[in-house]
Amino acid sequence: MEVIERTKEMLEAEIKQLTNQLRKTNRKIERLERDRRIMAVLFDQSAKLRNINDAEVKRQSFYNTILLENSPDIFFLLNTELVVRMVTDQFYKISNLNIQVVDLPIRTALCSVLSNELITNLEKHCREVMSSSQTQSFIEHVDTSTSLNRIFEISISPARSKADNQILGVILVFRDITDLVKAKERAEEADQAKSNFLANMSHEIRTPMNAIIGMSEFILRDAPDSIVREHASQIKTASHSLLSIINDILDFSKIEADRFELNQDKFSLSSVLYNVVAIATARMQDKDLKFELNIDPSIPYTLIGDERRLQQVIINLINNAIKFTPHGSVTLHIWPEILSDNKLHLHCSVSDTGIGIKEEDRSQLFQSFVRVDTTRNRSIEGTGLGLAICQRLVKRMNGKITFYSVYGLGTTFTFYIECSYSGKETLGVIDSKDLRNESQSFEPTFSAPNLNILVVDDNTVNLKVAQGIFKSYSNNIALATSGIEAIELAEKKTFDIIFMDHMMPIMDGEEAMQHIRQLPQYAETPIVVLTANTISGARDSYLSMGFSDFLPKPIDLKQADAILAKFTPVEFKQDFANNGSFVPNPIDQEILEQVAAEGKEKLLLLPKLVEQKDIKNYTIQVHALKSVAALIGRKSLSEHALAHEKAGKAKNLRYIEKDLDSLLYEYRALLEELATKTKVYVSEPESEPQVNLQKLSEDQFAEIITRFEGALEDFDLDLLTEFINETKHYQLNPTQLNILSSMQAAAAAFDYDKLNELIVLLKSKKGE
Amino acid sequence: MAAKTVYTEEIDDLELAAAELHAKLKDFHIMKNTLGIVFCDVETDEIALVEELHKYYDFPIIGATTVAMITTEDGYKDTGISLMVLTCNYGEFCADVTEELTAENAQEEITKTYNKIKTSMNTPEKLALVYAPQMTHLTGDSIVNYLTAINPDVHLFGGIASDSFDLTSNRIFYNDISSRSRIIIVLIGGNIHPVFQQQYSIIDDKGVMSEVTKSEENVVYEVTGGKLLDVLNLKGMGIAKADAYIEFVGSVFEANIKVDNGEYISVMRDLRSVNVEDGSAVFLGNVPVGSKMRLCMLNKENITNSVKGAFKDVIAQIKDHPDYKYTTFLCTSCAGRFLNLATEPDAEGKACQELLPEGMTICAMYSYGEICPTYTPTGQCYNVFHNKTFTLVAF
Repeated sequence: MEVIERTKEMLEAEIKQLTNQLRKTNRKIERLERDRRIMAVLFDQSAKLRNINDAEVKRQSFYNTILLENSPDIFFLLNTELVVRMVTDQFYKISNLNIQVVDLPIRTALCSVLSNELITNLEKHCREVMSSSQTQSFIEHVDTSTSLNRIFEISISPARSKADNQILGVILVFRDITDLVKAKERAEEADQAKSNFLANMSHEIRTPMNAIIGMSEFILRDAPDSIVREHASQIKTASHSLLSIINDILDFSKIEADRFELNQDKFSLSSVLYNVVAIATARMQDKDLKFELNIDPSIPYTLIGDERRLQQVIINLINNAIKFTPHGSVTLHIWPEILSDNKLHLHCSVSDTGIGIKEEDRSQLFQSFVRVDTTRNRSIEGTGLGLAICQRLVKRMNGKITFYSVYGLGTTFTFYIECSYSGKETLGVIDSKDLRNESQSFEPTFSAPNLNILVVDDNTVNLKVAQGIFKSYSNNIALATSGIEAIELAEKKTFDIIFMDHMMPIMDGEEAMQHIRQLPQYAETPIVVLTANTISGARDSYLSMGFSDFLPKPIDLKQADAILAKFTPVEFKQDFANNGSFVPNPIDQEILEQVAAEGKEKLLLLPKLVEQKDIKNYTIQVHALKSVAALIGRKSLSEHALAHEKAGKAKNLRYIEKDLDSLLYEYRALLEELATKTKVYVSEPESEPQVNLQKLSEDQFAEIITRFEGALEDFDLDLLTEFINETKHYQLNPTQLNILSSMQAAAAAFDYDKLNELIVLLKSKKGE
Repeated sequence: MAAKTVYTEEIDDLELAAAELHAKLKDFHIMKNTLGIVFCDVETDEIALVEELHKYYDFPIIGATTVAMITTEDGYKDTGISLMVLTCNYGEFCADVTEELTAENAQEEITKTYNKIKTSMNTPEKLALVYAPQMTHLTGDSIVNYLTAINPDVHLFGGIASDSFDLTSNRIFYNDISSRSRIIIVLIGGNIHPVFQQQYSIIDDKGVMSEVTKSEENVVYEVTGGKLLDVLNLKGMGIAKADAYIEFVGSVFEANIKVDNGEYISVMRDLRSVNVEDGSAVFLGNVPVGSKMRLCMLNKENITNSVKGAFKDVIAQIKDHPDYKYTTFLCTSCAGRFLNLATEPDAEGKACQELLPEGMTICAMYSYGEICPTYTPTGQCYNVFHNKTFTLVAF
């Protein structure tokens, strides 16, 4: 039994093992069957997809053919031997060839179309493309069968096998870009015209802007009412912003029009840093920002280059950094890379902890008139020109500007420029605190009580302003209102420095300077030109005339200080004698009185000059009137005078004659207003002798009134103006004359109601 | 935490299978809290297997059937049983299984089970493992959505059990319960820092995307251009059989699905079946209206690269936690991917073995749907149900 049991157990175990083996074998068979089935499906599906792909390939091939054959461009496919393998129909259309060029060498295919020289050149480029694998393109003028001198862009690129990337030949594309080139030229011309217009406009806008800024400063200083001061402060801030925008546009226009030259003068980086720190500090006043300087002390002390342009780039980048950094810090880092004994790369970086630049905005950062992330930066003002200007300036200075930014964390702009340097002296350690302390107030850097200064300007208001500025340095200031007077003064007394207005009547500043230079004691005396002409290159032009330097109007205190510091002999200089704060002599009561008093004469002089047809002096007078009016904030009068100045320059006497009364009317209104403030009354034209004029009878007066009324009824203002001018040839009393002047102004303004009132008024004044 | 994966080829003699697995775990120290995860051939009697294993161990055992598996030492295997043992003293592995789920009770039952497990835990859950059978009345997306709704901060990982491609015999099991309509949830708490990655591999043929204009969960009726089947027919991809999973195993639909922050994430969708009458198609995952989808071929050549990519990314993430010792890789890969490997079915397994960092263990199953978190282009993390994707978690 035991044996049977054991045998049974063994058999059962064997059966179990066999059963398991059978299961495993069956399972393997089933899996193989499953896998076979799946492989069949996969094969079937990939066949289907292959069919779809083949259909797609055929469709694409069809589309490719349509695309190539309908393209206005000519396509050639050449093999490595430069034999034509394919060419599009456009070639036959343009060349008018009847023979097939496929399988012909490109030289043969093109011999009747292109010059031998051009074909040789093409072949050379094709071989270069095959050996370098780099696409080449160039532009050629070609005479086609249908028109002469067409301009083609010829592009040659390698033709590669998709399978193994091997170069099989080249693809030659001829694109007719004649129209494009012409359009580009037209666009460039238009762009040039735009740049010129912008430059001119910006220049014209600067003058009244300076007056607005100046006057707001005076209000800030003089007005006791805090609200008025607040408003003036806002005007000043806004005006500065506007001026900065205008300056950007002006500058960019000049750069675009390539109307600027880089100076190659000696300068020290410390003076650049002085200004940079002053401006940065002022800009950061209302912000929770720290300004840090990291200046490499090994930078050579004497650099040679364009100090102003370098400063402009740095300030622009710093201004941007401040604008876009709500808190944290702005860091300026400057270091040299010495290239040779006299050349270096000056590297600067401006880093901020600001809002950073979005990835998608980065590509347009240096484009002109583009402001990035406008949604977020709407409150931040600007033209979008700053970086475009920086990039162009840096490029002109043989440098490069780059940036690195992490959106939300900050931005670093880095640039370098090529500079020359001289000497072995280095800049040494620069502490931003020192620079900041220096730049906090406008105080003269020295005084020279015994310095003899002569200021020459036909505009007495300007003279007052200059006097106010220079008296902080010296007590010996002489003033001259003309070139001749200046020469007379210079003959009598030796001046150490002369400031000379350029544009003056009778004898202009240049002529006066040359006369003075003839005097033995003035051969080396600094004569500095005063001018509102700040166009790039103006300084060089004045220096070439013989002026020692150039001080732009309105006079900037720091620039004046720098000029005086430059030309004041050491023995005259003293440390601060001036204990009070340094402010220019205000345009105060005294100046207004001067304007009023000068106006009295000018009001008579202007019509006289017109009558004498002395356009030259008339232009000089209205030029001065324009400045005076701007200086005291009379924009409208200033613009009116500017229009006359322009007319004078254009010798447009007709305009001047027609509009003179209107200008005088406006000028008179100003003077009358000033009279109430200054007690200098405008004298009535009674001083003008009318002895030779015919007296008006009552009938004549009545007739004149009737003619006025008739002309007015017909709305014929030309006729009315004619009648007014005729009436002035009679002897009239001042009141009547005033009314007539007012009528002329009202006619010029098409103010029919006012004219009606004035005629009624004149009627009532007949017996006076 | 410690983990070890062992494997036996034996699926017929389960006493022998359990003995072999036990022998391979001989030197492995079992700690206070332990969980066993079994992936086994669909022909395995899983209840008998668990019974045999429980003769050696008293920890809970969860599992799912699979068409193939990958283990640390044996790599890819298309049959057999793998057992991964997770053990620790200070963490927790708490598992349970839901009641039978219907479309109607699914959310309630899943929530109930989840909360029940959570109540039994002493620490907050950091990761939830989810294994489910392939059900026609409940999609993987629904399971993911219901679980995410309970605790959106918990990452989900897991997959859908697979079988021999009949799609009807796959099942999950928890101790002595085996089911085709329940799901297993494991909540893991304690000091773990799970890191994830998922990658798919398609041929980017830049085909035209069609917008889904009419769909309900995983049934797509219409896309731009008409009924889905009509559009496929036009493309030359007409389907004759209702049961289309195998017919389309070599291809996949890429779907760009909008998530609730407005961004799109790209997921793969497998075609399961079609309804020739109404021109609709049933997918293994949801395709909402507004999604953009296109038919792509699986990129067979690049499948192993996608495994490598996922591994490299997870390993890089591991380096961000230098103070935490990672021991375990769990992986779910798509059954369709391994079918496409054809003559080289062990390619993914080899890649896993090659890239597995020393001292770590891995256990993978091939599934009918993968559950793994995914990041949107701006880095927002969402729990997502995938198809035809290789997914990986390390903890």
